[in-house]
Amino acid sequence: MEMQEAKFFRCLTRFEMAGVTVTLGLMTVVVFLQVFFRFVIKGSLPWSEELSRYLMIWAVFFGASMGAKSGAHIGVEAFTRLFPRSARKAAILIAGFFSVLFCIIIFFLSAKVVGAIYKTGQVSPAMEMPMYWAYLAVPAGSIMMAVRFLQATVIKWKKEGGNA
Amino acid sequence: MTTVLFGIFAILVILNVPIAASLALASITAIVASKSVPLIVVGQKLFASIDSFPLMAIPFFMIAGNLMEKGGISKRLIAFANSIIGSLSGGLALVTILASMFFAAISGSSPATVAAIGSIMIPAMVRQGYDKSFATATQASAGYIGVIIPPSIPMVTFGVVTGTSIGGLFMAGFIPGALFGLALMLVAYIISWKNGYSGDKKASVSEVAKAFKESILALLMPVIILGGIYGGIFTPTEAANVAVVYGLIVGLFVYKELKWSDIPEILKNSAISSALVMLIISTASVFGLLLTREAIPAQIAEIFLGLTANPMVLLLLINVMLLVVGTFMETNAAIIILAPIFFPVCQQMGIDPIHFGIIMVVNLAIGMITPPLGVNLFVACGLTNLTIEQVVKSNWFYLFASLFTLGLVTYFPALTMWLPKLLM
Repeated sequence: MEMQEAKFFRCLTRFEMAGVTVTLGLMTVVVFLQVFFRFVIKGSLPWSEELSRYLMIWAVFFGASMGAKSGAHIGVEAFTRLFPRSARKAAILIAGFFSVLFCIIIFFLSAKVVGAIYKTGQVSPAMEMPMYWAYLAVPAGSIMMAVRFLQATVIKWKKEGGNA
Repeated sequence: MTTVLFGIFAILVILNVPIAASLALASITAIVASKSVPLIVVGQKLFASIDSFPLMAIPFFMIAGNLMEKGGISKRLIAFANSIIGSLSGGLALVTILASMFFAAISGSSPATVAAIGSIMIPAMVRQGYDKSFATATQASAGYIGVIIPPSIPMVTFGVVTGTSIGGLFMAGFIPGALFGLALMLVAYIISWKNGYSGDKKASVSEVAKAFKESILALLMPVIILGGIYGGIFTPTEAANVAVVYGLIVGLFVYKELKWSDIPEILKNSAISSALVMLIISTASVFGLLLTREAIPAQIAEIFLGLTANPMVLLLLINVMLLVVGTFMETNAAIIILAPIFFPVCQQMGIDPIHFGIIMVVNLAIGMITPPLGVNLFVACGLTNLTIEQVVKSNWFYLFASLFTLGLVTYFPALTMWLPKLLM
């Protein structure tokens, strides 16, 4: 069981890493091409701005998932620090619960949007790419984030001293 | 509905739920309770609010900053700062502040500045016998200049939300940034002189020249970024992109401290820090949408205009409010929620949008070092394992100097407006 769990998280990490490198890397190249074409070739690329925007949104959700794992999402720690130890432990669970709840709600709401766009067959203005590919970043990212928040909560809980 | 919105948000924040999740959950609850807009709008708004080319400057500046740090730039900036002022009383504290200012001109964020300079300078100061809490307070304070000296991520956010020129805001941040740096250095100098922290031996002219030559490529970066924006050559986002490519070339081929194998890690760290900011921007937009639906900005504008017809008094009120908000609220979230509230009031009073943008960013920046909740204090404490109380003790003078400078920047608009007006 633990083995499978570890394997699952390793795969997820590799997937996130690949996602982040590809989206941010491509985004940098695409915008640089935009600048390059305007100056050197004196022609503008019609699709560069649109493509880079969608790549960024995917990058944001990959990054958000990785951030949830490393506990990087900014909260305000000042209050829970003042809590006694038992209350602090409870707060970890509560914060974890609400973080996961946030992801699940966002998942359903954005999946609905993706579904609606899929049905209308809307395409992007410049590249004429199906728009749901861009919107898909939100539900896909929120489901990854939910898993990562869950993982981070378990780790934090164990660090505060197990089940006592 | 407003009570539900703010009430739930406050409770979640106290429980240390991430800001983005708190903003979204409070908004969703308020929508469910009031049925004022269909819930699916949340799904659309989350996407639409970050589907923006100007906002792309944020990840690019994050990548550029990380590249510069890994590429050996922060070291060279510190060496250059040290050759100029390292010999004065409290040399290392002054170097910390000056190097943070240099680094601020490359990176757009405050925690990045604290991490890049502080990880080298705090241990260096402690080794030289500086009081640990003074060293930590110095870095925490110097860090906030990161968002005042351009480029600046909160200025990008402010520009996008209010439609103010991002290039104009960048230019306007220069002189105030330098003033804050000078004010902090003055405090560091006096405290060090009283405590007898001596400086390094004086660097010769040729040593200064050598340090300058080594760091020239880093110091040129802001010239390229701002010159490019002002010359109308590129947009702020494109300038940020050019900064990334520049940092890559300098790190890989000139300084040769960067390896291709470092790049995935740099992209990962940049993705995480931009994602945190962007997610907050996107959830804060939903929150802001509800406030606008309830006509809260208009109501608050009315209250403020009813209180005073004097722009001076108005600015004082806004300053106090922003400082309080800045101590506990993430900067970008505060801008997304509050800028649309105060912006119309300021326009009615004839305050320039760029001047107001700078005031807002500066206030929220000072909030980062205001006890008991300032975020920079927590970051710096994390670096040194001190408690907040120990750092706050050494931080008061920095805070007072910052507030005094804030007064200057608020009431002498020429300090912010002179440079952009000269160049526009």
